[in-house]
Amino acid sequence: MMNSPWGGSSIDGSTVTFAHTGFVYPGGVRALDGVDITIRSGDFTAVMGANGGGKSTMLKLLVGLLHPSEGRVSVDDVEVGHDTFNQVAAMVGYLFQDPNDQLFCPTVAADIAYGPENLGLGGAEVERRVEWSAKTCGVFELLDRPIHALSYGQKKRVALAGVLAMGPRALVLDEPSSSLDPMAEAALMRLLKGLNERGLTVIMATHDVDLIPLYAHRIILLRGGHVAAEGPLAEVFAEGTHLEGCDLRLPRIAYLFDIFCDESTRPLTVGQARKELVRMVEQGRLDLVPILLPKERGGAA
Amino acid sequence: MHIAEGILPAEWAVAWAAPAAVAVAVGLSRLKKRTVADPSFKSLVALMGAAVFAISLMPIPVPVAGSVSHPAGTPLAAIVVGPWASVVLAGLALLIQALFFAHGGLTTLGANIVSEGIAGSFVGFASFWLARRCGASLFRAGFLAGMFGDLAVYLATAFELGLGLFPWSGSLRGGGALFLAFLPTQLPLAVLEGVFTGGVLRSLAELRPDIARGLGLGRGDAVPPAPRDGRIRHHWRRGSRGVRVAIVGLAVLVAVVSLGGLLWAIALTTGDWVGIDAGIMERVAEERGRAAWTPFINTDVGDLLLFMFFGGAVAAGAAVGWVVQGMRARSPSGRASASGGHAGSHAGGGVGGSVGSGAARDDSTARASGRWRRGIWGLVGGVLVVLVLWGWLAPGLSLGPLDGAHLRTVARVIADPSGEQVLSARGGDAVLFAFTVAGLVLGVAAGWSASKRFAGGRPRLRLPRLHGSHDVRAGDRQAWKTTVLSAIDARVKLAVGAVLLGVNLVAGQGFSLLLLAVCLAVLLAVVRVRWIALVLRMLPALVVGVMLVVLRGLTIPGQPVILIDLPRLAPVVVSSEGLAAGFDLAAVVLAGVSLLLLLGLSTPLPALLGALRWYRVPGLLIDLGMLMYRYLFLFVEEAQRMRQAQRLRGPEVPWRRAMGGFNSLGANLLIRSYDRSQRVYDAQRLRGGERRP
Ligand SMILES: Nc1ncnc2c1ncn2[C@@H]1O[C@H](COP(=O)(O)OP(=O)(O)OP(=O)(O)O)[C@@H](O)[C@H]1O
Ligand SMILES: [Mg+2]
Repeated sequence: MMNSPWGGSSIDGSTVTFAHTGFVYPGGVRALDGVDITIRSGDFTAVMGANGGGKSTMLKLLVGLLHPSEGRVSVDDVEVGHDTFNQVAAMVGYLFQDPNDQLFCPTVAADIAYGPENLGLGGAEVERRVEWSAKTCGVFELLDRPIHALSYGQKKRVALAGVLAMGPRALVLDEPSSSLDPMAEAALMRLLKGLNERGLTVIMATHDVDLIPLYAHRIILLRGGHVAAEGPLAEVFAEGTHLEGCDLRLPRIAYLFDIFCDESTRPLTVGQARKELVRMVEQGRLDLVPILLPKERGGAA
Repeated sequence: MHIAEGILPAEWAVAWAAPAAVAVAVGLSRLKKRTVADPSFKSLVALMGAAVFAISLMPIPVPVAGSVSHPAGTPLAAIVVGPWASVVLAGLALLIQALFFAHGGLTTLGANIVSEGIAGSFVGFASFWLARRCGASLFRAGFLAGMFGDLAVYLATAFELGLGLFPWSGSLRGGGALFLAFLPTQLPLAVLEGVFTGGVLRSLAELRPDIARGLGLGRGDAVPPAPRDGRIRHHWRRGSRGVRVAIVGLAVLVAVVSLGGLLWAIALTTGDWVGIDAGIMERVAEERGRAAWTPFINTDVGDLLLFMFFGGAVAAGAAVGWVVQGMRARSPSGRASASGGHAGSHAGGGVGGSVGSGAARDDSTARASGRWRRGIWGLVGGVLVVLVLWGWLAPGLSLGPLDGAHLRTVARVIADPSGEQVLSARGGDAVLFAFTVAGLVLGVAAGWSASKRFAGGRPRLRLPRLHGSHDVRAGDRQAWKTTVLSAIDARVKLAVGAVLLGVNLVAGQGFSLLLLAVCLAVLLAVVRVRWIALVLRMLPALVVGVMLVVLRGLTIPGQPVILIDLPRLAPVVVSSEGLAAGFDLAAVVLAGVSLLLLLGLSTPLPALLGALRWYRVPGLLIDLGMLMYRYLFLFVEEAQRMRQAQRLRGPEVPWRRAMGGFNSLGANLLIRSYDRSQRVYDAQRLRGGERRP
């Protein structure tokens, strides 16, 4: 970890603020309306919502690919705008949904080195960063390969390596786990979690409700361009009504709990669920026999 | 159509490199300027270039003879990104092709840029611009641009070859002859390129009007402002009637003047040119004591007439093949019972055949119209056959003086088959005869297969696979393999390669043969190319080599070594000097091509581009090349997937649908690359790309 782009062990994550931010596409579609949110340094935030809810728009506003029609967006007191584009780009790493958009250099090594080179770093430092990012993302063996000879998942990892090599203080990811195999998905999420624990601010748009509770602290629910709910995971998921409005569902494990127990507690991950079950059985509030052996019970009745 | 490595002598290689370099430099500086106004323009040009390159690897179905051809794509590129950018892209594409398939070459790069890049782009662009100014639809304007652009490429290539291969005084005429030689195959291809260019533009405008507008292709007055600021700003407005008339008039004037100038130039040089017709044949005939100048058909206009006959024979043959195949297909034994009774008379009756009574109404009208078409074709074919034969037998058609001598000759030949009199001692007639027969045979074959495919009035053909793309990827895989040669720095390889290519042009045959042997040995033993793959890659060069040997052997006078005495016709003479010169040149070409293959198959393209950057080739050009390389494969794969999807939904479709599918494929690729170019630009600047010098 000493070789990481951030040097020592902790990362000074950025704070992101949306202040009354709204955005209207040139065609007249209002994609975002009155968003007032602060994402604090070191947060792991998931942005969720139906297709067309405004997630991608929000993330693009954050990095300056789009400019707000109303209100403003700022990263660590730097207002995102035309003039500050490069400044913000150096602070915030953005992972495109399609790695083919992001990887424009002929080889893996050249692509990962592209960002650090533009930061004006020396050759040795660039090499060190390339090596670290490639190892961290598990693409070290691919460094000399041409990009068009990679699989889609491999391209995704290379794209992430290219972003990490710039040593960003906040990471913005648009559906990073789509089309990754389960192992790669888990590895990616573990990597993000590890970086987040060192202080990196992580903001990701995703549809994967089963995955989010394992990693994220906070969640932003978007519906039709408005923030429908925002806050710590448990709070947002406790109120099922938000989710339905956003065309989302509960994590499967929470759904299972809702069916079998009419308890107000709602575990979101398998680990939490196991704890909850043990607690309930111990307290004698839950009789597992009728659930596990429904036939015999029916026969006895 | 690229001029292969080694064909042009050193002085011409240098001479063509100069204007090419200037044009590319101007293109680059214009690109740079536009990139300042619109920073995403660079990625747009590169990605569109990659898309056009990928498209140019796709085979277009050619309805006759069921074969395929590849579009050149330069006119399309010129319309989409403008002619100057298109020159730059053509240069890059030619470089990549030279290194991937040894298609074209490094010493001929300049000449190829002049013909494909400059001539193709500007003629294509100008045709499009003119046609749009005159209010033509997108399809028609694109059609004209594609067709004229393609023909311009061939005209320029022919004259480059003429200047390079013939002595100065005969070069124009030689070039003209070569152009005429390309014409029978090239004219249909030019038409296809037109259909393709127009079709892609039309599909593009239908599928994504916003992009069409963004590229300045919007229609007429109703052009809303382009959605992306700073994009190309050539909006095609309909000119007023006066302007249109003036433009058309000017175009016609230019065409007439330039054609006249061309003919005049050819006429001026005719006297000095010793070609097949006059020089050798005449002398040989005289040596053998035969009358040399008793032209049966006066071919003083030589090659022009030759190709008129060839063309006529092809057309006549095609019509005959078409009709005969149709007759066979419709004969009672070949067809189902319903129309069986009438079939014989239908086929025989041709134009006047009566409508079948038993079949359903629609069916019979369709068949009636089919018969009409067939009948007209038969009539045209018959007339053409008669014309060709008459041209052969009747001196009246000959362009020489219409005197009794011709008739007397005919009479004498007919009366005395074993007589001393040859029909004509001039090679012209022998060649003319050969060409006419070849044309007839070709025509019959084409007509026959076309008739099969057009059964029921519509051609059906199997959608071709995208095989061209396979070559690029195979070459690329090979280049990335680790061999002993990978250890050598690309800069060294490039420098050594360039020097050797240059020496190859000026040193003698011995050097070329040695170079060829060494390159082949290294390719097979060290780079470990499979020999069959090597043969396939060398095949075009081999064909060129054989053609060069034959061409030189026939055109350079000297001691005859091969003398084919065609009965009743003039002897065909191949001179030893000509053969030697031909072998010399063939050795140079083969050595150059094998060296290019060695370079391209042992070094990945990015490494070569990096080496070029080190040699101070403009960075913008290298950046474009790298982007093109990166996205070429992606687009090739996308094209392949789309084509597979098309094939899965109907492997055999009518030709129009096949062409439509092909066009929408091209348009889709352009659309994807357009959309992607903005995202690529975003990705670049998010990682500090704007800070790059
Ligand atoms: N380039 C564009 N031009 C016009 N409207 C757009 C554009 N991009 C998105 N929109 C519209 O803006 C709204 C928000 O889109 P956005 O891409 O932010 O949604 P999203 O939440 O990312 O959806 P998804 O889950 O499908 O990725 C949608 O209604 C969409 O139709
Ligand atoms: Mg999205």
